[in-house]
Amino acid sequence: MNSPTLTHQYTPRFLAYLVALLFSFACIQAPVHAAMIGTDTLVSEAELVQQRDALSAQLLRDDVKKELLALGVNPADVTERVNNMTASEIQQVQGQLASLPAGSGLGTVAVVLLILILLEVAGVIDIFPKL
Amino acid sequence: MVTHLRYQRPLSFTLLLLLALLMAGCSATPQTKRILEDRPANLPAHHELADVPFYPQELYQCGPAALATVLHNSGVAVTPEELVPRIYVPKRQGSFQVEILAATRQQQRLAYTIAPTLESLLAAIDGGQPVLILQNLGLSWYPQWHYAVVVGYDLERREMVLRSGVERRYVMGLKLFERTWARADYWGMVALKPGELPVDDDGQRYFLAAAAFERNANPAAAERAWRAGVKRWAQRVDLHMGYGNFLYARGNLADAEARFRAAIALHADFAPAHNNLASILLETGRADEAEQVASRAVALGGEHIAVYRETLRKARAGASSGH
Repeated sequence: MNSPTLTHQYTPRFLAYLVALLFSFACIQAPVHAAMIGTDTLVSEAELVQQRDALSAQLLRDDVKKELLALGVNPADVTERVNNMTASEIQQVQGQLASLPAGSGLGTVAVVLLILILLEVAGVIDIFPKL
Repeated sequence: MVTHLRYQRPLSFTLLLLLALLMAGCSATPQTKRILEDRPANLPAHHELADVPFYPQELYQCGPAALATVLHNSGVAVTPEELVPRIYVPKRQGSFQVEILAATRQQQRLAYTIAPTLESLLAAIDGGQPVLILQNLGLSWYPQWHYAVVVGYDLERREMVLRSGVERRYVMGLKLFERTWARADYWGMVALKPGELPVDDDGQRYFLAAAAFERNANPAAAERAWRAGVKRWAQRVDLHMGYGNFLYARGNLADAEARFRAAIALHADFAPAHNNLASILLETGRADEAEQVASRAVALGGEHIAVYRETLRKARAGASSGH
């Protein structure tokens, strides 16, 4: 209320123009060549995944490829691995690979830690002095 | 009491806190309770797929071992060593779920993720399909992710039987199993031969599995998968559409037309089916009918209205040039 310029700018009419403008962009970006509604489109609707254009899908694929390379995947394998994922799978994992569950089974570190905690609680060892 | 504990016995308080955290991790097992109290009538009390092969895991490589197990059971002779370069991620010392699915399809099998319920899991076992599952053997705040293959269950003894780690026949209590599986969001996958159907009755999951499979499958295998799905769930529009699009891409316009007409018969207001049918009508020299059908798609409108308008424009151009 202290800023008359702002209240003037965000009138309902202004917002209506803005929305109309955004809609017009959406129409411009829609594909005009394809005459078929493909299965990929139906899949993304079924999964409630937001539709993205082909360019950004390729960018996401390249991102995932880089992430896998950074995690030590062999460069000779990475392209095929990424190409085997569907567009929605790529969207699910992109930017998440550092934190996604990676099933590996019980590693030695975990077993050792578990034994140490049990021994500590049983009063056999005292390597966690604050406990 | 609490004040007393907190200020005079810090050790006890810490232990109590730890215990509370642990208890929070081992909460209720609602699915176990439900299936023991109300077992589905068509589900036997116990079943075990004793012939499922076993590949003991190498260090950290339970993913390749578990995947080789279900693939081998499905008739694909592939070893864990051959799967390592496809699904193992060295710096995470493990495998991701999406890569397990992708590698399954790459081996010409549908990767079908089962519904997240014990009922679906046990039904799959009873139907002869071992299930590759993800478990969190640790706690939510100290996860130990692990893949294993469920090959049997016994509701009277309240046990699950798994091919897990280095154990060929690892028997696990049902409640403990549910806790470890629940911490991985009840994720499970079966590998289906093209044309083989999952046991649980979920046509949408099958549609998604078939659509993903089609991308890298050989055409004959993809066609078997779509045909089986349409036959099994004849009332599902998405399967008719998926099969129709596949046939269209293969140049089989007559059969594709029949699929899109079937989709319209099921759901007269489904604009994509009208659009795709109109395209085929136009391509096969029936521009007048194409114009009618495309008009219907435009009238129904929706997210892809721009595509429908383009189809209608082409149909009108074809109709006027034909006269």
